[in-house]
Amino acid sequence: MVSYNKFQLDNGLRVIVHEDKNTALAIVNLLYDVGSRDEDENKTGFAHLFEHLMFKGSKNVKSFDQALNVAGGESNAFTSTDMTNYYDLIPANNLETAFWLESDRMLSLNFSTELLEKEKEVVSEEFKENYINQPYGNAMHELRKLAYKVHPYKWPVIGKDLSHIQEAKLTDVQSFFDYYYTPNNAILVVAGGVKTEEVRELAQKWFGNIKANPKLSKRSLPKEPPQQAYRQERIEANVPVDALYMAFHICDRLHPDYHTTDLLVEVLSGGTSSRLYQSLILDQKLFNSLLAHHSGGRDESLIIVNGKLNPGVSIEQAEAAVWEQLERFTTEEISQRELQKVINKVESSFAFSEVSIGNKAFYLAYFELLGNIDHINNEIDKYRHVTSKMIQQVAKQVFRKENCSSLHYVAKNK
Amino acid sequence: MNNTHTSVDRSIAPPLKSINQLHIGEPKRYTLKNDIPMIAFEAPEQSVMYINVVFKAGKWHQEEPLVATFTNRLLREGTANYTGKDIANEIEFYGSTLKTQSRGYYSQVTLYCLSHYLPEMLPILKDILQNAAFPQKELTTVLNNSKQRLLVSREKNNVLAEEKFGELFFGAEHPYGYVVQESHYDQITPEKLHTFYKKHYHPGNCTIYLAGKIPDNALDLFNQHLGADDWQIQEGTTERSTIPLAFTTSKETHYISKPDSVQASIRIGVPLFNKTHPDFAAFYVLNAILGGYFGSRLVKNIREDKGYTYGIYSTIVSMLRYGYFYIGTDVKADEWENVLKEIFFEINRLKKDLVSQEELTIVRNYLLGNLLTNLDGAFNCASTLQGAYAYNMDANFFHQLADTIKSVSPEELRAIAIRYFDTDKMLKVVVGK
Repeated sequence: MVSYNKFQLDNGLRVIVHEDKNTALAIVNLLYDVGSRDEDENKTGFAHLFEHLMFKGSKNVKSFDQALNVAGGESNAFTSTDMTNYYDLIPANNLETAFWLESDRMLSLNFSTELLEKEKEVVSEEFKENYINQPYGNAMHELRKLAYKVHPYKWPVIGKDLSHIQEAKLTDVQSFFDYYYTPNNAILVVAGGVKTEEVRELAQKWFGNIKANPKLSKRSLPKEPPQQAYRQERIEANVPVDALYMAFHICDRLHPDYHTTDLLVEVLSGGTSSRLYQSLILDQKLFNSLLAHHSGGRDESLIIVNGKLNPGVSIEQAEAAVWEQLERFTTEEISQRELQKVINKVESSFAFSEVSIGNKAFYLAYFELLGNIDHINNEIDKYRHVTSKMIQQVAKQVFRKENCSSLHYVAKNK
Repeated sequence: MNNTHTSVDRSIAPPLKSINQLHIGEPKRYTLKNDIPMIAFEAPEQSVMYINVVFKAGKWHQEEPLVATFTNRLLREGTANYTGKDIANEIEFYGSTLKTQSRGYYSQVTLYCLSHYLPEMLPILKDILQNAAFPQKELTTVLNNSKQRLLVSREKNNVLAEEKFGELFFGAEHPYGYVVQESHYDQITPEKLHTFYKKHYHPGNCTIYLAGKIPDNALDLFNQHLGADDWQIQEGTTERSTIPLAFTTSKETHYISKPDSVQASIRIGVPLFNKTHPDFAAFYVLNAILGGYFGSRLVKNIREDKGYTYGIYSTIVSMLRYGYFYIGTDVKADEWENVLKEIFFEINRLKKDLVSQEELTIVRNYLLGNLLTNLDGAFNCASTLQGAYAYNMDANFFHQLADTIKSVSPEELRAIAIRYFDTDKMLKVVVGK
């Protein structure tokens, strides 16, 4: 159970407070409702590049990090397909410093061609470090491209191509900031050794007079049409072992099937007792690593299976073996014990997530983003209501050949 | 109600309050009937706990490559009373997570669980710690999978740089310096692992750490399962004496070429003391200024000003018998020589000029806040304090560290830089195109 108080400023900023008397720290988590799905297809990677620029100072703050560090705090941020989230961890008695800093960069961020050019280089190095100078580094680029034809989830958060980052312009920065970085597009969560009344005063003082964006409108992203036929692509590259990636379209985060889908993935790949691990790594020894996860986005998402093959196993044989495991769901319901196991696991991970105020603050912001923060405390009930039959139904829907995109990433000259 | 507030003067930063003294909660200490020390950090407001069982059974204690790693790794793959599959099923059924980790000097088995399932977890944990079976079939699979992962990681420049650095620093035959070969995997047998297990996984070589909500009857439960007289201290294990480092002074840069690299991975380092040394705390501050946090000089110079990298850091590696300082980064492939130049420029600047009070204040407060974070709550306290207990130190280490952070002067920092940053001696490894 996570307790919280919620209020809203006149400019639309939603503020949520979680009081935790067991800590002398506070976390200020500011989530902006903008992610890589909001990008122009020809200017991808921009939301993430923009996140970097948020640390380059604002009108009254020369250096964001220095000003926070001198108050004993530290900060970081991440960008996903669906959101950009910033957080400052700070001794609770210096809470106001974080309000000053976050409100100043929402009000009047610094930008200049010089800052932009420098940060483009840093992000280009990030791109190279994680996606080029790595074996299989471009696999997710290729898999997304294969699975999505229309929806912006077809490019990854870092961007479709290095050139997009290098071509970003200052005018893009300005218009992105003006449109998305406004109080009515943000959710502020303050958690830790704080009092609601204190937060209410600080929020009003520092954010109260920042203007809303009256033009902010509901996004209308192109909907991915149902996939009609199995897709397969083969990449030969300089990698030491063959790898298999498979993607299946699933529902969005708010769909009634979401919790069932989440548990389905858990049965498939949660821990070493899971089906993929037990059958294909241990028993049949076809893979040396094999995992499934889902992307859990606010639009229709994917289950992604990826694994590395053992020597002597053909990629066709490996894919057939994965299919055999997936089809098991459709021919027999999972046992009550298996169902109970994955529900217990969810309960336990909720309990563990409450150990850290950072996690609690982010989850509060995330559930508010999804539309109704009150759901944070009935999430577990939704999992408890999932039955074996429901899992089977979803599996039948998802694990169809024509719903699958398969990437065969194989070693050259083998 | 609306618009009654006056507008705020944003050009003035809110007044700073000094960072609170550290309040480090003293853990409860127990001794099980077979003399295992058990140290508990309680957080009754949680519903979860962790049990960390730490053995002096890391690589330091092995006589052959990979033995410590795979002894630890195989613990979960089968025991006298449970198959590997049973262990996975039972633990995960209760929503628990089991982690095994083998490091330099220590190896550990860690269980995360809902506190009310502790009674269900302990019999399995007992069997893992006392009756591991090292089945051949599971061993073969684990070895093979690990070998395949090695092939993949060898494609990464940062992995190659780390391996080369370790080899040149510690020595090719040193337990901390050898580079794993595929052939090492073929030498591992269940018997070797079982021998290592019997010798090193016993009550005399072990400490149990608990954190979180600890059930009232926990001591009884632990005594019943892990403190019983069927698990006894093994006498007569002697520890190997310190092996000298292979590190030698050299002007050259060890360059490994990996064609088609778009980035070069750099490691630069030099031997240092560990955290028991009287200069550790001052060096800790000096390291922060150079490359120990995001506002450091290396980040400012090489990332922010030059745009050569996404990240650069410097760090102190403290081990029970060794210590070293090193800098790591991945940079534009063509710029590695410029990066080396800039790194040495920043090191020399610390030896030449005094750090300004302004910069020092930022670093002091950042480090104090960071310490507060690392000691916030039972789980953080447990993991942070284990890092002191390993050296027979206690919470005092952190109080003294905080005192030095508050008081160390620019002159002392420069003296420390001159004493320990011998740029001519530093080992330099680059893996690039």
